[in-house]
Amino acid sequence: MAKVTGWTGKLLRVNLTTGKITTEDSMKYNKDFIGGAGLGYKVIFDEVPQGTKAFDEANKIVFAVGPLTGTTAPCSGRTNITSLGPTNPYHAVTDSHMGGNFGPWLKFAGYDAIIIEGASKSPVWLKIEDDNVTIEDASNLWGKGVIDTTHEINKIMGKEACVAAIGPAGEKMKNLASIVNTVNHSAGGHGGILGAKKLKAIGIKGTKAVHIAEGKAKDWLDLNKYMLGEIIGANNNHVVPSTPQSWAEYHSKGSRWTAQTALFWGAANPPVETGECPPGDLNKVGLRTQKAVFDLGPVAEARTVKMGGCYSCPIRCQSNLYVPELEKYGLTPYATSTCINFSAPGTAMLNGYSDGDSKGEVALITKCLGSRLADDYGIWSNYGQLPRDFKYAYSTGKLKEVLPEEEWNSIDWSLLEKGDPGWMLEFYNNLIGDGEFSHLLDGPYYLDQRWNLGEEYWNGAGNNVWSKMAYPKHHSNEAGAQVGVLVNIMFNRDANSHTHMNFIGAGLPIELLKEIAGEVWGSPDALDAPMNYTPMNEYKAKFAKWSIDRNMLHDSITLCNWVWPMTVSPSKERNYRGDTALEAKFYSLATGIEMSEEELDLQAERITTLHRALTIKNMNTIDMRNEHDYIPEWVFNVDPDKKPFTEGTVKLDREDMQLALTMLYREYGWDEKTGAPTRETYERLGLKDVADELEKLNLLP
Amino acid sequence: MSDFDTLEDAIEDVSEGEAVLENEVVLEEDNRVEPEVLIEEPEELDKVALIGLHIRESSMYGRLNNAEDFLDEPFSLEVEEALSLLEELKSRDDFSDIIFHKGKETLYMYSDKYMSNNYAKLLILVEEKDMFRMIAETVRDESKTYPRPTDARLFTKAPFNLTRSEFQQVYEELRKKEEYSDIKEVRASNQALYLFSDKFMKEALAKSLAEWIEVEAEQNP
Repeated sequence: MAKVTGWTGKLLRVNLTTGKITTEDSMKYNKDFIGGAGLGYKVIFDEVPQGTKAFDEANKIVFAVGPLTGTTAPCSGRTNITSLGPTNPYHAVTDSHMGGNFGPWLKFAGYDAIIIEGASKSPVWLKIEDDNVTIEDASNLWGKGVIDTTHEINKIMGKEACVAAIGPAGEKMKNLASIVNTVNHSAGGHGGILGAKKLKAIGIKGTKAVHIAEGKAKDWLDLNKYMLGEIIGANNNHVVPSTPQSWAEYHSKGSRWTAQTALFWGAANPPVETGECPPGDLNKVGLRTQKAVFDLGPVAEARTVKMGGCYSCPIRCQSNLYVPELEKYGLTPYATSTCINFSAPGTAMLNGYSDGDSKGEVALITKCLGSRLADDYGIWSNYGQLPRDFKYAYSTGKLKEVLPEEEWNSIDWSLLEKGDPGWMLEFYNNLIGDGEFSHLLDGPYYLDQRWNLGEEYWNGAGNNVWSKMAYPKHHSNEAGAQVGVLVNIMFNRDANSHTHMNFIGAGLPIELLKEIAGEVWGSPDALDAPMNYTPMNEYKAKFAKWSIDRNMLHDSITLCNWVWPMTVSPSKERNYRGDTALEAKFYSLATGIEMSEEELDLQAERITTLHRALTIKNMNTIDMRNEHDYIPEWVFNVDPDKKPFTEGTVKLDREDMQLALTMLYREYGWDEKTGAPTRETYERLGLKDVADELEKLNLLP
Repeated sequence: MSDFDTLEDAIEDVSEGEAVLENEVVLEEDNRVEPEVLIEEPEELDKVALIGLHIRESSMYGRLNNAEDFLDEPFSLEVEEALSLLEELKSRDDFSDIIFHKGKETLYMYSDKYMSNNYAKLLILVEEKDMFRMIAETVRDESKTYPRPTDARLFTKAPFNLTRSEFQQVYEELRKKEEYSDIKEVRASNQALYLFSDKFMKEALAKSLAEWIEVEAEQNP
């Protein structure tokens, strides 16, 4: 038998009910489903009975990575977690994703995945040291935050171990709970499942190598150099700098390529100047994204110790900051986070900040404090929906109505009114408390059932809730019109799919982007200019399908979809063309299995279709068009004085969106009436066993 | 230091060995960054080549050259000689990257190998010191090309470097001039000022894009 490379070829199965720990051949999944999300969907489809709820003992949770994890493929440090989603009205399958080191460490210990099943009667943690895997008592850890838990396990295993843990939110089986590794890389939505299984943490230490195919070392290095030298941009694969720079034809204020002359990591000793980082200079790729300034404003420059990030990622998007003011609140003077973890706490400051500056010192301290508390307590912001729910309930008077008077009076609302950072302690402490306020962590669907939030909550344009499935929008109609909406309807949580948005937001002029769209999806008409939309066409459906499938590919292979795919590049010599075959090239070199771009895309389509099948099984209906792929009213009602397809609006048209659904179903070979895959399509994709199972459940169109 | 003469040697040796981890040795070797040779100097340079190399070096550092630069040290040329040498430079195949642009009062030069044409265009607008045209042309270009309205704060940053009061003064004057009547303004909900050219963009589009750039993008990271 040929040596397995890329993958380890082995997975770990841990039954917390029986305490039994076994290993299995992982290649039975990897061959057809790549790894990561693909592996997770297959396990959940095959092994979790229909009707199971997220916190049931019968639910399983799968931590899985792919053949590129633990190699030196750029941006390959993420971990995919698959399980039933407690925020979803049907508890349909969801993924959560975390960066950091956990996935690579899992591979170094010799595993492609961990399947956790059953439930322990008392708190435990899982200790993995290569082949030595044990279930340890966690009674002394239960009740601790993520930071203390990580610290305690690192004292036992050594500081080189990577620890993923839940905080109080997970222990209390809150729906909006996260799993956090290395105290600051969080995966949102599955923390409560570990809580239900009484699994406090997983610590991993491994000493094994992740091999690539024999004799391919030079090809691998050449491919890495090519990608870093010519193809990759900055965070979100933005390929132009944020300011005019002499080497650059184009610039865009919204670009995450913030590096420029006289911009520093100001708290480094000595300070490090990002300078200009033109394409071709491999050693400056890591300086391109000064994300602290992007997320928190110019005041963050002097506090930036460095930009950190995940294993094997040249795009350093995780800001490491020195904020001594945090000591006043009982924290260490260091903060580290990125993106929504910084902005979500700010959304909870309904009256702004005491200094009146949304990008000032008080805002920075507040956002750093909030992000640290959220990570320590293991709270998931639900892509910023949690503070929007708080805003809605507070501003409509609903919160005062539902909170018992004693609880309302116990909260120091003056901190909120004054814009004091101390509001973060009130906010997060009450979220993990036992009062009514803590039900904000139920998530939109269950919160509405409890508090009766009303039509405006679901249909108001500013609230961003995607009804009926009750998750927030994530790069939807404002991101490529119908394309963004189609991407948003396909998942059972907010669409953590950045493929389309990275392309749209790359910073290049529209004509260039349209040319590239024509080359990748068949026609420049696949892309509209921003806020200047045209009716649906088949090329937009192809763009949407490609975006969804590449997201599935990245979550399975495992690559970071916050940077991949490389649809565009910063290279003028390449006329800004990227290389969409790079995933296949890395896959082939890692595994030794020659795989073309088209063949790998077909594998991704198989994974998307399996996800669809699993959703159908979870929801027990094939009527996806009406029951799942529902489009919220605000998509059609926004900008009341404007008509769809006029300049300056993101408003869309109902009939046009139904046509969009039909066109997307057609691209996938799904039944155009219901949006459910047909037997023919399942069999074309090698999913006959899935079709057979669904037929038994009367769930084939 | 590596015992191998070349990267290829290292890889060949590694691929023949059994006990060596491929990536470790090769990566160590490969991480050495060769200093980029930006300008290869021949042994003997004529004056035309020296001028060409000087222009390239200026472009590398984000600076334009103009014809007068060569009347000063270190070149110290007479006007006629300078013009003659520049004329010859235009025809030299080995300096085809040198771009000449006739401005209002002088000739500008840059190397498109080291400076983008668009950036050079911005620098020329700055050098010409016609602030009205500088703002209007930049705004028109952005409205037409990307398309997007222009954040007024752009003009307070490099390479424009106006102070806020200078910008305000110039902008107030510009609004009164007929030739720039296509330059219009919109404000995002946080009151940030954006400019656009109604030759290339409607106000409704400019307003919605300004709101996206200034406010909504941050709420949808």
